[in-house]
This record gives sequence, structure tokens and C-alpha cells, in this order.
Amino acid sequence: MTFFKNKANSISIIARVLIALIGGFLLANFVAIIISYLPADNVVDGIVTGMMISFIVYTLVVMAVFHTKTAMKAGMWVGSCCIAAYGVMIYIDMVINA
Amino acid sequence: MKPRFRQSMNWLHTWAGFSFGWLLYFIFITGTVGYFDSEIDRWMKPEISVVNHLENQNEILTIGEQKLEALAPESPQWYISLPASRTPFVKIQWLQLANAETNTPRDWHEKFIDINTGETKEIRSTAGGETLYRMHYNLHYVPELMGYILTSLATMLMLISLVTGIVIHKKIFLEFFTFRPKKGMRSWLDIHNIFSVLPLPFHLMITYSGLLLLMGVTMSSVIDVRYGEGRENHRKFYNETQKDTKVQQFIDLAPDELSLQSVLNDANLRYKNQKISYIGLIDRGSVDEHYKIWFDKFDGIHLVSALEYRIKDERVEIETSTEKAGSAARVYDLFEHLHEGLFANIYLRWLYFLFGLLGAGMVATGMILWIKKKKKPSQSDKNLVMISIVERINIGVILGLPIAIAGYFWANRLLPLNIEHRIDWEVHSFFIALLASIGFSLFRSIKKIWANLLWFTAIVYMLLPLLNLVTTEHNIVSSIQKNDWLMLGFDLSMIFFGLCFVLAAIIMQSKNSLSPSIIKQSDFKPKTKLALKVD
Repeated sequence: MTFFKNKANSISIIARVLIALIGGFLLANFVAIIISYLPADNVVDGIVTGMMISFIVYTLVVMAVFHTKTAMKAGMWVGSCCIAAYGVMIYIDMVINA
Repeated sequence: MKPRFRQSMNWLHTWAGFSFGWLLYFIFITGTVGYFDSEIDRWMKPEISVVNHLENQNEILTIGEQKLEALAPESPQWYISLPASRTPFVKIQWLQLANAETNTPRDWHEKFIDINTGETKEIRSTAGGETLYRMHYNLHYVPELMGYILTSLATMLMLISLVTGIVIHKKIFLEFFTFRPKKGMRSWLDIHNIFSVLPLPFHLMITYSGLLLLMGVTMSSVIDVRYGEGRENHRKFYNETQKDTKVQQFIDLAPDELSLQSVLNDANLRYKNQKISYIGLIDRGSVDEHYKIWFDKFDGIHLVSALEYRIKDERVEIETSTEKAGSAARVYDLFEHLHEGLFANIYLRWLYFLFGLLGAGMVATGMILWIKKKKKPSQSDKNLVMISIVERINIGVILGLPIAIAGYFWANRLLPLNIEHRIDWEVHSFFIALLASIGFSLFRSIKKIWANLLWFTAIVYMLLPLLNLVTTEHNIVSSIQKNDWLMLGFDLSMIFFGLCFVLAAIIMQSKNSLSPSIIKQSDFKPKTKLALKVD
């Protein structure tokens, strides 16, 4: 019984680590790109702002992933945030290029 | 705050810190040593003759120019470094262009000049202070990109550990003033808190700015999407971020009078309070030939130049760089300067060094805490063996790095001057010493590792000035006579570090002879459970 429990535990931890590392990285990148579209001194400066803030986003996402009750829930949250951020990114890109 | 939040953050704090702990310790130690890279470089090149009278700039410049004329008549870039506080010697550098006929690659050259004889000096080939400090982000042996990514990942985990470390404390201020000695685990936790909280702003700054310095690599996809893909675009992006706001003005200097000498004199008149440390003649022979001046505060050619002289419309124009063009770039610039601490004077530099060591101490005590918590009799035998191996490697790494650095210095003096790949062997010596100390820790009785290694470290540091005396013409007395403060400072610092290790060794020995009941682990009763229960 304990073996099973331990196994479930470690799978859940591995899942969280993956969600936090990969999902967090993706989300941080998306947020950075969105921020880089915000008004700034120039295009390059906007990108620099986005990249600088991305590390704070990454930290917060990782903390959130380990705070959420289940790995499943954490995955859903990060996943949907990524999809939403990706959507916003595409939308902004469309508006600007239109 | 909800207890569950604290619990989960505690778990994250422990594992984010532990997983890359040894790498972080390596980064902290080698990076901290890097604050004295120029000083180390001077010690590792004992052939350099120092200049004490810093005022004779014109004469020095003439000699430098003559030497460059003789050695590098065709080079498009000349640099002459004038004596400054951290670099009290004369150095010339030039860019050697690739030449297909003679089969010479594009390369940078540097030569040191003895101002008394006016001749260049042969300097031993050494990896120097720069290689030592570069290790903290390129990790030396791995491919460059891999090194950047690994160190960035470790730094990211460091940032996470710092933030979670802050949130798990109910009374961070009170705990900072708490130290309960001789309470085993409790004492370690208190020390860990002190090492972390006292220089917390420094830790946050150094970690975050470390991430920023490599963000062009780690967050490169943002540049790909928003600016353009490929190496060429990334370089263009980098150059654009580095753009300064520039102010131009014409000055009363006849264009045909423009020379290294006149540029030096003019800059000295304009900035009486600043000391010029570097003069460059760039794009020689081309349309854009111009002179560049760097001041002592911005020592080194990779940093912002302060002044540029060029001929425009048959008049001499000077250009001053004030600050970065964009506001985000200015913030980045600020973090970069804070991280590198190049602006720091000698006192601030030592403070940087001390805080860096506290950071290394924070990582080291964190690792020790992790091991102490895991090392319970309730663990299975297999786990206990694993933990014991981790504990041994941990001691080997913690004391192995100071030993490795000493090994690097010893190699500089002991390796024959004419062997091939001397530079590589200096670096190999660093890592061989590190591996040897880990190896020693794996096989020595666990109670004796600390004391043995500490005594050994103390001896290798204490003997460094003696080694300097035997292998070179430098020693403490001659350094005082020659006003060679960097050499003297290095020797004295080594004795000081040696004494610190002696003190640590004595403390460790007396602790080992104490009755074990005083340091038994049951004194520690954690208030919160440390393991995160995951559904």
C-alpha cells in the first residue's frame, strides 16, 4: 500500500516539476512577448522590458504550480493560461499587421 | 497565511535550492573571486613591472605608440592601457586581422611594457583572473551555450529559493537576530537564516541581474518572434540595446593635429577629476578612423566609452556617451553594473566579496541542513548509504572549491613555463584539485573529513606567499619596497584566508571532541512538517 502511495506521490511530483519548468517557461515567454507589444520607448526597449519581467513571471508560475492542490489542477491552470496568452499574442499580432 | 501555503513553499524552497546546490555554490565562489579578477591577474603575471608614478601619461603614451607602430603597423585597432589603480601597468593591445598568405587567424594580441626600459616584457602564458571569473557562467568545459543555459537554470532555481525562502518565514526580522548556538540542527538553521537575510538585497540583486545578463540566450525566442530569427538578427538586436544617447560637439583642434597625444591632453583638460585608463585608435586608416577614451571608472574595453574623437567636415568632433537610449535598457544597464561592480572602490569591492561569500555560505548551510534533516535513523539502510555519499560529496565540494582555487594559483607558479597548453593545464589543475578533495571525502572517516580538509586548505593558502617568494622575485618585503600594492595585498589576503581556515579547523576539532549528547539531533523540533503531501 505504501509502495503504491509513494509511487503516486513521485509521479505527481515529476508531473509538477515538468509543468513548472516547461509550462512556466512557455508562459513566461508568452507574457514577455505580450509585454513587448505594450507602448515603450522603441521596439527593442519593449522586448527588453518583456524579457526582464519574464523571470518574475516564471518564479510566480513555479510557486503557483507547487501551491495548487493537485498536479492535474496545476497542469490545467498553466495549460489554459498558455493557450489564453498565445491567443492574445496572435490577436495583437493580427491587429498590428492588419 | 494558510499553513498549506507555507508547507508547499517550504518543499519548493528545499528542493529548488538542493537540486542545483553544488552548481550554485560553484557559481557563487568563482563569481565572488571574480570581483578581484584584475588583482588575481596581476599576481598570476608576476613578470609585469608596475608603475608607481601615474602622472607621466604623455611619456607612457609615446612609448606605447612607438611599440604599436613597430609591432602592429597594419592593425585596424590599437589600444593603450595607462596605469590605473587596479591595473598599475602599461599594456598595449591590437587586433591582428586574418591573413590568408601567412596563414594567421584573426586574433587579439596584448603586450606589457616595462616603462623603465621602454621594452615589451615576456609574460608567462596563464589563464589569469579572467578565466577564473568566466567559469561562473560558462562552466569552462561544456559548450558555451550549454554553460549559459545550465547556469541560468541554476540561477532561476536560486531566485525561486530566495522568494520562497522569504515567504516561509513568519518573522523574518526576528529570526535574523536569533542565533542559538550548540543546538545542532537549530543552530544550522539560524546560521542559514543569517547568511540569507543579512545580505538579502544583494542576493536578490545578484540573482536577478545574473538572469538578465544571460536573457539574450535563455529568452531568445522573444527576440525570434518580435525582432527576427537567426544569429545576425540577434547580434543586431544586442547592438541596438547597447546604443547610447550621444552628444556631439565641435572643438577647437586642428584636424591635422589630432593624435593620441592631443586626444589625451584634451580629455585630461575636459575631465580634470577623471583618470584616463584606456585610449583606443579604432578603424585606423579607414574613413571612420576615430579615437576613444575610457575613464578609470569604466575600466575595460567591453564597457561604455566616455569620449570619442573623430574628424567630421574638416573639423574635430567629440562625442560623449551619456546613457542608454531606452528606459528598459537603462534599467538593464543598472543591473549589469550592479552585478559586475566595476564602479566599486576597494572598500565596496571587499563588501561585494563578503556578500558573495555569504551567498556561498547560504547555499552551503542549506545543503548541510538538507542532509541533516534526511539523516534520520528511521530511513532505510539503502537511503542512509545514499545520504552518507551525498554528505561526503557535499563536504568535498564545499572545501574543494577553495582548495581548487589555491590549486589554480599553485599551478600558475609551479607548472614549467614552456610546457604546451599551459593555460589549459592551469584550469585542469583547478578541477583536478576539486575532484581530489571530493575523492578524499568519499573515503576518509566522516568525522575527520572537515578537520582534515580545513587544515589542508589552511596550509595551501598560508604557503602561497612563500611559494611566491621562492618562485618569483616578489615577496612581502620587496612588494612594500616597490610599492607593489596589488602583489602585497594578494599575499596578505592569502595569509588572512589561511588564518580563517586555521580558526575553522580548530573550531571543528574542538566540536568533534565534544560529547555527542550536546549536538544530538533530537533538539530540533520542526514546527511545520517539511514534506509536502501531494494528493
